Amino acid sequence: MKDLKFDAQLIAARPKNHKAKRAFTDAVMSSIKSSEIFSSQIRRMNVNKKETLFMKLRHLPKIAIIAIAVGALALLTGTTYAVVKTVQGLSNVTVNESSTNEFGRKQLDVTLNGCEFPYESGTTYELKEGGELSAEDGVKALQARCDMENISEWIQANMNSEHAPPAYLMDQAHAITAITDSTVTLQDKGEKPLPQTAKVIVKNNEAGQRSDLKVGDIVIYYSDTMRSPWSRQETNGEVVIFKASQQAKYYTLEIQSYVNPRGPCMSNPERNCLKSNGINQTTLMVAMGGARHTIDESEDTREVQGRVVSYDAAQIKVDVGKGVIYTFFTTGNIIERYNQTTVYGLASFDTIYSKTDPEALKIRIGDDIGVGYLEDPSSFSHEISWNQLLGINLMVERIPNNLDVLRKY
Amino acid sequence: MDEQACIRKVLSGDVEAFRDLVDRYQTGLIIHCENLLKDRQDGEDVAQEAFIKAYAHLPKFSQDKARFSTWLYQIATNLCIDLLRKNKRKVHVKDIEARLEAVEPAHTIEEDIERIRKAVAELEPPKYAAIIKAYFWEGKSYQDIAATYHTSTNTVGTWISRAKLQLKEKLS
Repeated sequence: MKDLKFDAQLIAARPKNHKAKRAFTDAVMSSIKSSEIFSSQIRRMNVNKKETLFMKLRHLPKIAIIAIAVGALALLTGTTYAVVKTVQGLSNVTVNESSTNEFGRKQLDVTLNGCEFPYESGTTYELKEGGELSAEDGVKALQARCDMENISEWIQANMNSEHAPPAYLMDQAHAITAITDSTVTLQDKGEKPLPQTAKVIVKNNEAGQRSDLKVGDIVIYYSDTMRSPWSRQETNGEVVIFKASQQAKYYTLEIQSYVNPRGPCMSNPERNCLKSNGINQTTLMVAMGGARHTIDESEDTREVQGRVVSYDAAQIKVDVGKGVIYTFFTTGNIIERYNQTTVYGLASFDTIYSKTDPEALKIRIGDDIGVGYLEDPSSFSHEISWNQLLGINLMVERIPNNLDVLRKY
Repeated sequence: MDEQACIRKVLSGDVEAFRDLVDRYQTGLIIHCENLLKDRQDGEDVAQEAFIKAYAHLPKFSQDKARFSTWLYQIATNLCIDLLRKNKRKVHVKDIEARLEAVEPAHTIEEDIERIRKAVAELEPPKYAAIIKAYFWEGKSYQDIAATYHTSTNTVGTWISRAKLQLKEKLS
């Protein structure tokens, strides 16, 4: 036992220039971010079956967690004063090009002026099938997203609440149906307090008047007098009413979930990958590859995404767009194994899968998958060996109006 | 960033802040799990699972009651016990608990840290220093080190034992 203490001291003496294993950290962070809590090979333990609110939400990216948290929080009374802020004019979305991408989906190349989207340059926005969005709808949805970005920024900069980080306020835009001296009534939300001290602030600086609010305006009503989902503590604070620039429907989870960013794949800039829309997208790990046993940190961790063209016991072929086919060599028919066995055990590993019919998560030809692999930084081969393969993920999403249920992207 | 600030950032929605915690504790945690499970790969898998579980349950973690590292090691230890039981291996929980107490990340004062670093740097042959750094500071497995030195894992184990003996003498 004494020796173990000595080991612990040795570990504690690690100088900062001796970095921990990047691949391990990346794997953990990737699991956390993409929510892949399942792997037939490495997840031998059952996880906590009772799913808490946070556990349910942890599968979603930060933006969605916050959006849902805010949506779920009960607004309390006892507010002190109100501010009315309009986000109109703070940002401007312009379309450079509307086209069809290599996967047959509508795609918008846009410029987001005054919008703090965390997406890197070269990002385009794909309008996913099922949403029936026109290019004009896509632009409006993106403008709404920018509005929510700006609202979030303002709240974080101005609201006095440590535990209320409302980055996005999806499903919280409502039309004003009535205003009195002290209340505002919102469609589908009912009556809310509206103190006489209400102000209008335009572009963060310009003071406006409470009288700028009128029936028919689309607003987002926010109060930081709420219970934090993390601390469970109630905080006292203020009410802010944000005037929105678009119709209420463009601020909904439903519409926003159909506008998805795409950009260069990790360490693979020639390839195009779906980025998280921050709302309902996630991935499901199908299988680990052979690379985890031979991780060489001098190699790049790369990703590629595309549609399954074929699979058998020796390889998986994936169409990554623009006529390029990647071949991933395998040591067995891992997709068939997933379809025949793994998919039926998903529910026992995590409750996120328990309400989804396993049949709906089976991989078919044409489905979107993502593949992680290791490669020499100077090489960009289209043929990847089993020992390079890190893992294969199925691109999935939560159904916007029923976040407990998954479907393939 | 200190640990508490890191945890606060994660809880406020900054997922990326969790990376610091993974970097900080992964090497020790992997070694701890490896020692319990007698298998490096299982140790890495369980350590990974422990970090994911810690992230998922972070809102329940109370900094008033325990250090994050204590809590994290407890999660990992429980996962190891589950795995050992699942694999029908004998589990001596008391031994494991004693081991947990021993391996928990040490609060070593700066002066001792410097002494340890100096002693490591002075190991002879220098290969021993490289191996100690690789295993305890860089998270390399016996297999990784064996591959680097084109030798067997048993030999790596012998080298590490000899290096630790030298270190203890230097530090005593």
